Formats: sequence, C-alpha cells, structure tokens
Amino acid sequence: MWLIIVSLFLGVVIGILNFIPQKYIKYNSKFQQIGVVLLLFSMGASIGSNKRILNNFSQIGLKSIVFAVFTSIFSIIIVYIVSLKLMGGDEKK
Amino acid sequence: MMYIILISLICGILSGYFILPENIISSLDSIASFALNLLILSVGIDLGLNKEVFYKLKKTGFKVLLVPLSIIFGSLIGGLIAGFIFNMPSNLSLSIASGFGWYSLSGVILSNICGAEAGTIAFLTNVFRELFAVLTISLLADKLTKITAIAPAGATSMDTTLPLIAEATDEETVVISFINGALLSSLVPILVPLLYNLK
Repeated sequence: MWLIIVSLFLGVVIGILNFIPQKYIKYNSKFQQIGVVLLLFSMGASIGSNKRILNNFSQIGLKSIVFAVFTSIFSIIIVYIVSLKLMGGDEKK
Repeated sequence: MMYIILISLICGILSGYFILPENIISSLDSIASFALNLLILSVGIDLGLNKEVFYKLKKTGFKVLLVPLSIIFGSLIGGLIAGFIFNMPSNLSLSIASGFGWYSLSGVILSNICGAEAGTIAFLTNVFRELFAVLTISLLADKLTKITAIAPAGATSMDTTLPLIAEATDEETVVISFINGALLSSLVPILVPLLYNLK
C-alpha cells in the first residue's frame, strides 16, 4: 500500500514540475493502455493458475459470485444516487 | 476498451490454467506489481499535469467521503441479502461483504477467526468483486456517472482498478477514487473482525 502511495505522489510531483518534455507526454496515455493490458493479463493468469479458486469453485463458487454481485450492485445503486443528488452528477451531461 | 479488457483477462485466465508453468506465474506476479506501480506513477503524472483538479477537489470538500460511505452501506446491504438467500448468519455475511474487493486480506482474516470455509468464501467473493469491477467500470462511467465507476471497485480503487478508472473517467474522479480506496483499505482489517463479532 505504501509503495502505491509513493508511486502516485512521485508521479504528481513529476507532473507538476513538468519534468517530462512536452513531446513525450502524449505517450503517457498509450503507456497506460499497454500497462492495463499487461496488468489484466497477469491478473487473469494468477486467477487461472490459483488452485484455491479452482478446487473450491464447484462448492462455493455460486455463493461467492452472488455475494460479489450483490455487494457490487448495491454499492453501485447507492453511489449513483448519492453522486446525482449530492455531488452534482457529471457536469458535462 | 471494453473488449480489450475482456480479451486480456480471458487470455490471462486461459494461459494461467493451461499454458504457464508455476515458476513463470510467480515471476509474473512480481512483474505485475512492478507494472502496477509504474502505471500508478503514470496516472500521477497525469494528475500533476492537470493541477486544477486539486482546486476542483477543494470545492467538493468533505463530500468526497460520501463515496466510501455509500460503498460501505451498499456492500453491507448487498451482503446481508446474499447471506439471507443462502441462510447464512448475518455477522458472517456482513464480514464477507466488508472485504470490499481486497481478497487476500479479507480471506486471511476470516480464515483465522472463523475457519477455512468462511475464509475461502471471503477470498473468492472478493476475487469476483474485483473481476466484476474490471468488467463494469467503463460501462458505469459511460451510462451512469463517472463517480459510480468507483463503486464496484471498493478497496481496489486505489491500486489494481485505478488505471481502469483513470482510463474511463477524468482526473478529478481518479483522485476521489484513490482517496476512496485508501480509506476502504484501511477499514478492511477493522470491519471484517468487528462485524464478525457482532451478535
């Protein structure tokens, strides 16, 4: 967790101080897209190779999926209502 | 982007299951966390280049806290209903729900205080929650509000799902997402045992 915080702040400082020459800045978003693909691939690989997930899936897979979907959906509903009513929604829309 | 996300994830799962040997997987994990830190650095650079985001955020002020609060309430309500369906005791379903997507930690805590089966349910639930977040973030940002994209991500909105949220939303949402993830992550080790001990 600390490494993540340090990485983010280091990035913010680099950005604010304009350390990176203008002509390289446009590569930042390309870099992020490639990074996301790598990250998701390895996330998938560690799930696909995890014995604990595979061995238990038949017994408690359904339970876990229902828990995951319900906690996510109710979070989505409440955050959506709160963001519309109390935080002004998306300004552009 | 939705298809790119789905394809990379599925390719990863299939090659993890069929192709890649054990030793490559473990080095893949350290490569992944290195890549993640680089990504977060790059997200940070974007934030630094758009300094006005910090002024905008000052205007939002304490309302930023409404996001983690809503996610806590939503997760607990969802967890209670899921537990009700499977006839599980409500203290157990609440503590499974309060992993907020952080599967490694919530799984370990519940294994310790309640046994292997509960720990495994917590672990799997939060693995699936992270997957669900990965698959829905861009859709939610598109169809509902940008802030809503943070909701399924829960505690992971400061690390593994932050690059996806950055891709799908704007700089202001990224900062809110990071704050949300940091707060929820610090609450996981408190809420999981606390809610389990409720009677």
